[in-house]
Amino acid sequence: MLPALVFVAIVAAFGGVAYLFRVRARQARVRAVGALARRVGFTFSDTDVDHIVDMPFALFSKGDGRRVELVISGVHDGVPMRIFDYWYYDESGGRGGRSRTYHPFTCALATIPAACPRLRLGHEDFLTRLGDHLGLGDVELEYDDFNRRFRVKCDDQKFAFSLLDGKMMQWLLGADHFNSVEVDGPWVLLVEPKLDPARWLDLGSWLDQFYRQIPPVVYSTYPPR
Amino acid sequence: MTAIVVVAAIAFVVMAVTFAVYNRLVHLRNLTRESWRDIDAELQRRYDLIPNLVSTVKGYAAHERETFDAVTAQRADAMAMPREPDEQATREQALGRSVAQLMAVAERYPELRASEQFLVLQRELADTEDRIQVARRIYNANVRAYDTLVQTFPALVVARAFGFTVRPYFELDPIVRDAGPPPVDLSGRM
Repeated sequence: MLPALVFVAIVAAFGGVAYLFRVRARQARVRAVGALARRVGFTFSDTDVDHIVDMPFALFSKGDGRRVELVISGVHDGVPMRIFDYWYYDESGGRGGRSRTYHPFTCALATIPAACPRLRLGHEDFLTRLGDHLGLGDVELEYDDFNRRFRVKCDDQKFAFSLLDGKMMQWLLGADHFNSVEVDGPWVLLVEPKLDPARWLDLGSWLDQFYRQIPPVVYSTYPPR
Repeated sequence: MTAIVVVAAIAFVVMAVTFAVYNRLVHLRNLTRESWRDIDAELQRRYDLIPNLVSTVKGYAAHERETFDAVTAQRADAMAMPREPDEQATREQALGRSVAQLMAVAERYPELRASEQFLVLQRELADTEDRIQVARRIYNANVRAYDTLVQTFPALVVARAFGFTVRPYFELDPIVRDAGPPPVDLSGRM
């Protein structure tokens, strides 16, 4: 009986220490993001007051549960944007109980003066290439380098070709450190693996450059509604 | 008996592949035709702009008759009848050169360059050129997919049997370069 109690106490102690570390790490991140927001003149909220998580992006429909948190909002290099943490989890059940696998990201969301059809730019991997051979292809553009590296999902071929012109493709090949980019309506969502707050403004700069690469024909063909 | 089953199985596989390839060829051929119609629509937009452009420039530079006549003739020639993409491209290039010459004439008249009507037409022409380029790239991407299928094994066997032939690409240089993103005030949009 006694060894069992000692075992339970040790497990509880480890659990408590791990929880404490998690709480302190989160508090440190909240402080760092808050300080960043104050430094650059953005507003800060540690919860998703604007319900960003309900927006119709593919990333926000993944997993069994999800949350947006630590949101900063403001104008960076003339482009209004929000930068925030996002995670979702997958649940898997077994006889020993359910376990969760978390997928954390840092995202930046900006608006552009256009009403764009839905487009998702991700990376090609073994499975997506296999899908291409089975006829589950993406939009194929005229640059093989670009096609090999990126997977473009868009129901509107005209929009994909309007947005991804030669200049934009060239720029994306050189600025490829993102997880995915989604465009829908006036919104552009840039997704990266979870970043240290010191690097959050890099996302803002990326979005600012992306905005400058958008071909004028996008604005004339897909004007804001 | 086993031989019959094997032959039947092989025949079934061959027929299934033939049907699948045939349907894919028809789908891609229709896609190229559809995307050619999109180019046609954008070219029509350019044809519609040119008379306005000519009459606007004429108002300031009436004596440049040769240039106006050349643009009008090239436009009529480009519009004349439906052609194969490569032949159409030659006519469109000639029209493009005439329009570029017309724009060069306009550059010599500061009052014309400053007129609101000319600026609007110039912007519309640049936008139309961008649209033509988008339509052209879509067409060429669809042609590439179709031609690749027509020329590669085993689809080429089906393509030859049913008379599918390669389609030509459409190459066209823009008359005017784009002027960058429009000046848009983004403040307060979020």
